[in-house]
Amino acid sequence: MPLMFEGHSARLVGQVGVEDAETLLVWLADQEAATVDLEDCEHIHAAVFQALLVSRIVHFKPPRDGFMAGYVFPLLQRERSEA
Amino acid sequence: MNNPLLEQFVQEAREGLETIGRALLQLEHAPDDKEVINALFRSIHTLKGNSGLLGLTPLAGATHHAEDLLDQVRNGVLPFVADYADILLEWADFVSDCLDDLDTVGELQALRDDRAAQIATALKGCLGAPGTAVRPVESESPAVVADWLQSFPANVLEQEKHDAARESHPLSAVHYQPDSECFFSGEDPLLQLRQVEGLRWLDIQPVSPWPDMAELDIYRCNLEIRFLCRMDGQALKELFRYMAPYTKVRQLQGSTFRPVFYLDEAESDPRPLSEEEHTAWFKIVETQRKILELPADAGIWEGRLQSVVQTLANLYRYQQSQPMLEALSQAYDRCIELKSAEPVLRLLRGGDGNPAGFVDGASSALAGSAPVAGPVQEDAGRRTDESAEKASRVLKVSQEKVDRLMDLIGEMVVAKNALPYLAGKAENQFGNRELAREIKSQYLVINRIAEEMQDAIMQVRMMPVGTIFQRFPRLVRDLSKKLHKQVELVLEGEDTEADKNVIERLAEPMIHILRNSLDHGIESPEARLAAGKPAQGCIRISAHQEADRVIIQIRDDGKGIDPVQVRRKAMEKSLIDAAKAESLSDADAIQLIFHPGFSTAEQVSDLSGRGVGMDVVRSAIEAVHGSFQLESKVGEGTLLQLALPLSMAVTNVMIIESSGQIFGVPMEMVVETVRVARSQIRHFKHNRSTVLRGRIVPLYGLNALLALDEEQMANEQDELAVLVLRMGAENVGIVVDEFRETVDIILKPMEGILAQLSVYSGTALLGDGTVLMVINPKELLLCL
Repeated sequence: MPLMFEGHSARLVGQVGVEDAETLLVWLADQEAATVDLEDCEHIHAAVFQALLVSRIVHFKPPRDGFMAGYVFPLLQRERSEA
Repeated sequence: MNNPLLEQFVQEAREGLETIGRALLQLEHAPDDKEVINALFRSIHTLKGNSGLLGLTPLAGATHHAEDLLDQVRNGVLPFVADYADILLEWADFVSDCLDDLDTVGELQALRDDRAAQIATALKGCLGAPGTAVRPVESESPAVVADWLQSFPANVLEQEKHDAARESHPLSAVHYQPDSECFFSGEDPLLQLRQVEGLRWLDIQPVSPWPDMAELDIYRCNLEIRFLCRMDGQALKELFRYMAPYTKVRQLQGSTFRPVFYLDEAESDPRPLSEEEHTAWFKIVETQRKILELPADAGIWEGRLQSVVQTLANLYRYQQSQPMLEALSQAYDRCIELKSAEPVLRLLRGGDGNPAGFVDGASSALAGSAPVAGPVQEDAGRRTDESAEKASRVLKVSQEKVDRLMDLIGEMVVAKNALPYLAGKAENQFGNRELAREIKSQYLVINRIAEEMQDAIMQVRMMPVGTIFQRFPRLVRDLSKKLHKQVELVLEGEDTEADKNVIERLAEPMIHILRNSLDHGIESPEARLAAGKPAQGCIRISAHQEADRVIIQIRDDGKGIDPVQVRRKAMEKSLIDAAKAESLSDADAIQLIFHPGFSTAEQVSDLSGRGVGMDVVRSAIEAVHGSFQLESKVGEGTLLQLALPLSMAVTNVMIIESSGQIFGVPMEMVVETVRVARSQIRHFKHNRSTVLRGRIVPLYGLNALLALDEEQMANEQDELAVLVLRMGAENVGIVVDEFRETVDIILKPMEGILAQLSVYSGTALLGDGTVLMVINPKELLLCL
């Protein structure tokens, strides 16, 4: 299961595909302040990326995956700082 | 060719070529028509994409340059001039040749490579033509490139370029804006980015501002992606080949040395030059220009370019002038791309080599490129939408399948004709009148359905005559240029439809007719003006339907056919004797041009006048059971009218009996059927004739013509059955034993050895299963 929710935090594990995007979006929309743990996330689909981008209230636990950490995560962070 | 993909490509490409040919000719008349230019560009773009996908390199290459040219025209960088039409038409011919290759051998012939290169050079020449564009060639329009590349941070770009050069890596910039529906086709842009090697810089922005979370459609991709990576352009294009319409790739740096174009301290103010510096500056720039203008071998010019550009760059780095460094950097990139020093030279020449001029030249070149950004992406998107829509409404079926369906329906028609015989048998042989009546009523139902089926399949085979008219504008254009004549071609009624077979067989004779009109009909502009006509001649081709025939008229306002000259020529060629020439009316005399071996051209040209032209026309028209009429007035012009059957599939024949056998005769040739009393027949040696309605009609017995030994039978009143047939302008009587009914049949041509029996035009199956031989009366009478 690549998506796991616990209270105000979500954990993304492994490859998170397009089919999980909506679930995540719906969950994020309900949260006032949420934490998303990307540590064990290996890849997120662009739709999931979009969901994380629009939810400006999230705190992240950074990913370990090279591509995610090097390129995807900074973009998510930038959106945070701009918000 | 058994590759279905290739087959489809050839078919589509041919359709595309037709559009392209038409658009090019339209543009010659209206070079500013944006819609035509856009349509042309789209067709070429599709052709390029498809040929590239199939790995047809020479084809894709040449097409690529055609697209470049059109793109510049489309973006208003170049005006469309007649020369472009010539070159593009030549390119279109080349494409057509390539398609022929694919059709026949399934691959491109080796010689196409050279031709592709020639055409590419010619097309490139248009782009670089002096005085037309200040900006150099780009695979994408320079305006567009400048536009999207400018959204990359300049300092990052320069730094990356330099690093890549130092480490001998290529560097490319990519702009990738996935289709908003791309998630549905399984595309994951982020996964795509993972596959990019040597990703150096990545930025992702929303295409339109993010809406509230509640309104966000998470399945619509709203991402605009820009990145720099250390892959070369080719590899990137390969990686993004399925996203090609949504991706722009530009290689910024090969894996070679690159001069340093960036300032050590960003955003420092330009440093003013002293008098002394200014003089030195001028000398250095002038020297660099001279060096670049020296002839250079292919092996060394790049090194020379690099050192010159580095010298120039150093000058501007000293002056701390960022805009000029950027201009120089762009010019340098284009030099590498074009393998020519021209872009940098142009920059230098722009202002007499002095620094201020250099600045002006550079900034105006940059400024000029900004506002013309073309809607490349938008067009590409629309194009896919359109074709998808069309594909769903039109079904492409190969002709063989339709032909097979028609054959089957034909057999069905024949099979159903057996039912009346069966009904007759039930009644007469088995005395069951009830059953006979039932069979007959069932027959009527089947008959109606069969007729509707036949009608429907005929509709499928109908094609507008416009499909062959399309070739004519090009033909007229090329020929009139060659002959130095001015001709306007007017086409009317292109929507008129007729059976595919008829249409297809019409093309060849029509071309002959047009050639003749152009060569012999329309006069030179001088001769026309002298005769008080406008210098530009006019050829008008019109088509319309009359009852079950298609009428095609070809009318020119040329010098007409001179009957005196025709008579003289015909006598010279011993086609007629002097007495006959005297007795011929003018209208009849001009018909002599259809005689085999007649040619009035004083000089045999390669266009027409080979003495076969009009004869070929006549036989081709007759082959499709058509007729023609020629009218001409000296000095005013010529009108040739062709009348063709709508469909050749069903033939109406009259069944006749002779020597105990039955034969069919095409109804279109039958004038009348008469009974002639034996006493009314005059004999002269072996020839027989009779007088019908004041005209002498020669009579021939069918048995004699077919070499059957029996005499023709007369009826009880000693009258002979005579079938009067029209043979050109004359009537001929064929004596037969008995007339029977007329029937609609599906005529099957003779096959194999039997095909040599030209006295029969074919066979048909009758309802009772007997085979009907259908006579070709013209050939039959030739046997005399």
